[in-house]
Amino acid sequence: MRSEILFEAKDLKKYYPIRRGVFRKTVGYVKALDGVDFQIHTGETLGLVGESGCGKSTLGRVITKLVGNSSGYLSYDGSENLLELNEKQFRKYREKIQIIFQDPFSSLNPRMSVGDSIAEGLRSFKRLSSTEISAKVSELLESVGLDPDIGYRYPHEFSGGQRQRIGIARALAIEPQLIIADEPVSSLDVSVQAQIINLLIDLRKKYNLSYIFISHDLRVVNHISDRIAVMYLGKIVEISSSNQVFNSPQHPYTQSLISSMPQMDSEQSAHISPLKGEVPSPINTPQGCRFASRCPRVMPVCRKTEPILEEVTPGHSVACFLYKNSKT
Amino acid sequence: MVTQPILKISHLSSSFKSGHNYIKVVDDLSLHINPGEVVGLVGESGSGKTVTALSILQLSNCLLEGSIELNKHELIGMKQEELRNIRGKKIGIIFQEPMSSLNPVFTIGKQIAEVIENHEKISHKQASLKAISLLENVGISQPDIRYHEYPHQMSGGMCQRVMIAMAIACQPQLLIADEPTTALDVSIQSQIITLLKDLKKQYNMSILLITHDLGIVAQLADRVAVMYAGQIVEDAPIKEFIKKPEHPYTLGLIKSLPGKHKHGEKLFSIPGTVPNPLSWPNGCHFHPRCSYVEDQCKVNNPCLFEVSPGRQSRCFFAGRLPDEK
Amino acid sequence: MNKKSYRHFIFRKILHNRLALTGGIFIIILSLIAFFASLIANDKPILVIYQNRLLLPCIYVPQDLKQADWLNIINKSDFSISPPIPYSPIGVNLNECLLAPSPSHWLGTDENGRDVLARMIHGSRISLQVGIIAVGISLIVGVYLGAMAGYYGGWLDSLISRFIEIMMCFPFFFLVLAVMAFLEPGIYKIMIVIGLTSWTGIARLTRGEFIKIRNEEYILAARCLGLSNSKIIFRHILPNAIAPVLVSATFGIASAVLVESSLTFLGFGVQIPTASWGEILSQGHKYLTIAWWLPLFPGLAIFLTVLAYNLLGEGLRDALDPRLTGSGDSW
Repeated sequence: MRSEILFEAKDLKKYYPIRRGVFRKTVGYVKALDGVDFQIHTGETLGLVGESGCGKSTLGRVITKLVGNSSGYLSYDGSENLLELNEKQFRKYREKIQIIFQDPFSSLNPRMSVGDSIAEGLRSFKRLSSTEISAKVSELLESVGLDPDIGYRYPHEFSGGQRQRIGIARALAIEPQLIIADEPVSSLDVSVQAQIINLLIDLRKKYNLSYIFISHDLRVVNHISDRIAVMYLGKIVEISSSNQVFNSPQHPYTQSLISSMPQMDSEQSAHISPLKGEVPSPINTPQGCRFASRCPRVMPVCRKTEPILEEVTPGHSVACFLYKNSKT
Repeated sequence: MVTQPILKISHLSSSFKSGHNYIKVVDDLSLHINPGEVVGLVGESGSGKTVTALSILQLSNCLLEGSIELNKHELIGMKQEELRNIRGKKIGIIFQEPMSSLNPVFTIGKQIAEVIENHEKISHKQASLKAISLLENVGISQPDIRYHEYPHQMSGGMCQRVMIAMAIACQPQLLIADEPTTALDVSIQSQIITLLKDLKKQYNMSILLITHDLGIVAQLADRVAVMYAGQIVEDAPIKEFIKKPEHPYTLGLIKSLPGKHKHGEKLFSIPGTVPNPLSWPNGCHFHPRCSYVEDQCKVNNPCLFEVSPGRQSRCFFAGRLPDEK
Repeated sequence: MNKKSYRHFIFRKILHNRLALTGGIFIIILSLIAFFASLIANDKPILVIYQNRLLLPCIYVPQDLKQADWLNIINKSDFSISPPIPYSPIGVNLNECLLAPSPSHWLGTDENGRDVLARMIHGSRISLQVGIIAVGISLIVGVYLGAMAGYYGGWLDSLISRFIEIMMCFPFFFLVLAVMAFLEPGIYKIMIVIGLTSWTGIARLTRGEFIKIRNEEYILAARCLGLSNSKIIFRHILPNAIAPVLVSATFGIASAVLVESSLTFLGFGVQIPTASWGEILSQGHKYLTIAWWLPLFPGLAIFLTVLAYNLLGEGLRDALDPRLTGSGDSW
């Protein structure tokens, strides 16, 4: 039984202009996002993986309108195009969409007590008295596994894992439905990572949240996500259920990414040679498939035309000419 | 004939000065590295692994006790001129952040050549030629052109290769790699690991690989030493370690990896957090978080027990822990 | 539970810096002297019981005694307490001009017989006010413009930055002189003019800090939480940006004291008979060879005050330097 579509994106593009010269003429664009489509259902977790420069962090910021001047179509719960709303009109959607950041050391205001940081959202959206706000802050601190009385303390008094919990409490304060988690555990120690991932799983069940979980760590993403989208140079190259992506990846990039993960077991499974070369710059994107320069199975057509993200098996879409024929 | 270890650390303690007190961050650490061996030093932040690396090179601002011997020469207390001969020449080091470990105002070629000129008596031209061949050796294409590039013009992976080239320029016996791949993408990580493997064979170097990533250690290391709260808690050959860890902390670490769980189920996590050096518990440093804790653990600090030949664990129950499933 | 806020931490750090502490104590003492100047140096008694009336003439003089001869009253009174320095800063006494420092006039007298110490004490009020008012004005103007430029960027930033650059092109001192030439001289006019012409450095500093901080993740979080721009600017960014600005402000106070002295020296500042250190200095320089105490003491006072503010500013800057606090993580 399919739950409704909570959030939808079509043809999202974000180009950063490069300006040179005295008159700041635009000489080119950094194509951080170059046409991204996806959907999220209520209660679903979509994982976004990719390496640096693929645009996954930009995607998080475009969705929350923290960066402007992007084109395309974004809709929350069937609304009008969010990208066309100004800040005032978009404000009511801010209650629904929140974000958790990567670096626990810079995501909290060092000059504000943690209780104040958590309460800022409450003060902004809800009309509550100060006692009600205090009570809510304590309740939130407890729900993220911290002592409810620590609200008066300052961020520097806490460890990285604790600060991340405070950041989660802040995001939860105004009761959002969709949370963008931008590399929430990448800066944490391994033993703390597990705690935070467990917390996110608990909160998801408790509040029926949907997540967009952005990370470069495939194993973590696989564990928490229902579906995974793999990004490369501003586009989604493969999107499917996490089981499919992890265990039977179709796109050559996904395959190389998975085989590059350092394995703990000494018996390595069918080892595809690790990727050669570097990720090309998003400024001069090559003609044709962006992955062609590093693809171990590149064909002549790949260098001329760009493949479109198409469904090759039900629920599994890949952008690669290797599978174009299987549909026709 | 028994091989002498290249590096022999015995009962090393490093303490930071804070006000009028000294805070111990590394406690009674003993480790040895044999020629051509790769030893992984694994630990989370606060375990003391980076301080250990800096202490070997006498670059930490710590009070050091114990002994660090490089080929039978004692490093603690050595004079600065002698230490300069060792750093870069006998011991090479690569750091975590390749972009900020290189001087941004000099070309990368010049920086490599500088290391060579510093330690060997050759002309500038010869040093540049040597630098170019080193760049090729570490897998940088068009090295003669890249020689003249600046760090900001290169990606993170390439900068790390440059760092490696600088570190091996004088063919050191020991390479200390402090989190060499943490700041890099996964695909670049595997390239760097392969590179280190090749260089190790080519130069017959020993490597001290410091990291928190058990996966990388499994790929590259021959032996692994796990640190927790300033102490080594387990020291074992890599294959045996992966098959069966013999310390509750390492057991917990491996159990908490996402790959070891079914999709969506809650991850095993070690309760509590790593104590900071100011508040190390009495007795075993891990006992407040340990599920096998007993009374003696709270009072006595266990030493490294030999579980089997070549394998040690700092736990009273080493060798008797239940199998991990 | 100890509440370890950033302010307490900085305060403790300054306390440990002996030079800064000395500067701070000096300024506190000076402020107290300035505040209580009327009670410290005055020809009227502090308290007097005269004709069965309890009077506090330093604070309030009743109508019928406005022209009284207070020496007479003191002699005829039942009980009186005089200020420690029983001279008025403006009372002329030509019998006693140009006297060297002595037990009755600790710092000597000037060419009109006025006690130098009394004038210095009252003059401290002017010197302290100049710093605070001038820097206060430049802080308000500079921080506001810098914040707008740094936060909004774009054409507003270009506009404000060009304006700052144009203001910086004017030689500061000549600008002040030009403005003062159109206005009648007056000490408060000087303070306002200094404030309105010296805000450019603060504006630039603020702009730089804002540009740096507006992209920090906690500010992105604040935007995500739907906070208004003014709330983000003043409640979230400003407390983090203000530190280097405050350091600059303490140095600005020192500079304002010097500027006031120079302007008064040139005749644009306070007018006789009001006392200010610059004024004593300007009158006194004529008598350098015969009355060395006239330029010496105000000069010394200006020097020490500027030094004290500079030490305090440096102490503040050292305390705020994140490199010296370690990783900034272990307060």
